[in-house]
Amino acid sequence: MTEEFRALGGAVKNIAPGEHGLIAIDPAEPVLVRVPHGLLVRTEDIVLEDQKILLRESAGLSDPLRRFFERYANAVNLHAAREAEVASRVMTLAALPDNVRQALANDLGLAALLQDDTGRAIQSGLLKTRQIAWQGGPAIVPIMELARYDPEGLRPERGTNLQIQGYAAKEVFVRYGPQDAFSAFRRFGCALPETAAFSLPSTVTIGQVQFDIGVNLGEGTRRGNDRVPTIARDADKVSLSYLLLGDRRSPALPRSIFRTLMTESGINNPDEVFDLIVRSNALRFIRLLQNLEPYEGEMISTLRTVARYQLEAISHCVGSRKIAPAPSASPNAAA
Amino acid sequence: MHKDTPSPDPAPWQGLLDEFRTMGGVAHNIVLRPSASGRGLFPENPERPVCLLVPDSLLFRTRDIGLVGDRIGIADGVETEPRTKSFFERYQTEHFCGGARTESARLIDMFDSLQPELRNRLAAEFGLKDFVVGDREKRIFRYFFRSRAIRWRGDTYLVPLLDRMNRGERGLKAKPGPGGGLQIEGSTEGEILLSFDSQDSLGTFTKHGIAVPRMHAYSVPTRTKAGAIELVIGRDVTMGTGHPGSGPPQMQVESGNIHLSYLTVGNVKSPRLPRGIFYTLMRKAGVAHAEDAFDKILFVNRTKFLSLLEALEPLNGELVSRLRRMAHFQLAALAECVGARTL
Repeated sequence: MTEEFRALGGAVKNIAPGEHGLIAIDPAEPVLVRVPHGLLVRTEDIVLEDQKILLRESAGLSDPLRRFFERYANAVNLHAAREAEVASRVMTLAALPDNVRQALANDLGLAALLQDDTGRAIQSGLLKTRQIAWQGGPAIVPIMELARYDPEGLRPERGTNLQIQGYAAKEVFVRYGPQDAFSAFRRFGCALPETAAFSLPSTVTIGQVQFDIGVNLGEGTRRGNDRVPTIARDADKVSLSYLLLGDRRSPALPRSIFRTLMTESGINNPDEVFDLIVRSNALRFIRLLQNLEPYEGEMISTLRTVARYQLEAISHCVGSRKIAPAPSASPNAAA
Repeated sequence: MHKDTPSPDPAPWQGLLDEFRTMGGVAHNIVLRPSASGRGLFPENPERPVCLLVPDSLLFRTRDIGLVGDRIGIADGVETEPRTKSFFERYQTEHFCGGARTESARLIDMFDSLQPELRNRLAAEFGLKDFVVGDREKRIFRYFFRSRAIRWRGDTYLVPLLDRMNRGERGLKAKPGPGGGLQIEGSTEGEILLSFDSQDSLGTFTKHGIAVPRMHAYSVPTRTKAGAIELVIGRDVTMGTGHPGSGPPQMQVESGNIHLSYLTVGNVKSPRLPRGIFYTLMRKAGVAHAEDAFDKILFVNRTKFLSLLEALEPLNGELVSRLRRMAHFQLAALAECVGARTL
């Protein structure tokens, strides 16, 4: 399959499949996976039929690329370990007590992983572990997506192609975009103390204005050294592509970003709105902890840790500082 | 009722109740029965209101009380009318030795079974040293005392019959009796509960050893900077300028430091109040950077309880679960800090 990948414009150096993901063949040499633009497939162009991944016509791939992608995406030997991990996670979640499952589904957006149709839940979970943000939306990135997630892993470099390169002691890990503790759990099933916390999808109404917070971390712009979400405002609604709530490295940043964007949009009292969003998020994770309390078990323990990591990151919101003004409109403004 | 708590023997209790009444006390429609918390007071007829009136002569200041051997008694040198002293000591013998000691000992033993490192943290960081430091018998006694005493007219008292009442968020409130003394009255279908005082979840756990949600959170003792000024935050909610715990704290400025007797950092009913009070105090003191200072205080508090949860994560058991629930309740109250009200 790697030969076919190379023939289609991809590049793979010093990498081989390992037990769980990808490994560096020679740790003294750098690894490289380069995926040409044409081989990146948006998840919206994918359908699942009879547990097989197929491409919609809208994917716009040539026949050779389409054949390669569908063969790659459904290669059991490549994805068996990951599918087994996801399946195990789905079944363990399904076995949780009712009140815990309800909190996860209703408060924390895990309904897709907890649906009664476990086959669809597994496929949904598997798809989520494989996607990476590309030009504003999630996409499957062949070969690269076989690497497991780690916040200290290689960072994808975006240009004409999408690539990872660097050194790996043994297993090659990739940092698939900004995550927080909860999104890392939702996508990869792991409990990791991430640097930042982002808001869950939230809607808060104050007075006549409704604030909608999304989870599209790929949609943002640069202001100096800071990355801010995109904002859309109409008369009685403000929408943010995502919202940073806490940041261990820069605790003054979260409130500052929100305050700046809201002030520029003519919203009064942005601090109170921000506090309400933080409150809503914090209480959802505290309720999860309360629902977990009487129980023991590995998944219960993992969820407790994930909730605590998320709350710790949320709490790293202290003070404020200046955010650079919005850049003037230019073709290169989007990050 | 815990299986180790003896069932109340009706004869001594009835005798004490009769004597209480001859000494000026009133106890209408009240009986002592086993409850979920061990033993408690219940209405004999739930369709009728209850009334408990304790005269001034039967209010015993805790500083006048001590352990005499393994019994609770009036300390030497405290002048007390002999009949009153005799009643008190017999009453407390029946109460403490009759079951309350067993319940107290059970909790103290649970603390003693925790790892030393965790016990030390609970003592040093959460004000729980009375549960873990010192002679076991004295800790049992102090916990019983602490959980059963009430604050009244600026002092702390052990009040017969009232000290049998367990606490609840919707409990009855103590108020002055018509001719003096202390009175509880009202209707209740189940156990007669006394309302909690103004403590938050941590304070309620410190006093009563139970995990309950409260409507507010006070800061743990901490120090932080507001510009060049050092802020010292205490945790004495009895030292405030309004209703205990809900109004502004006392503020003292000395040697470039500001001392606050306590600081409310979360309030379910008035989430804009905590910041509002703090900003007002800092304006009065001429301190800049109040927003950053308050954020740091909130951060210290949240981090402290999250760190406790981390320490408890690998553990299980009744007390560990209780500590976790207390931390959850405190974190939930800490989340109730939204915006700022102008005062």
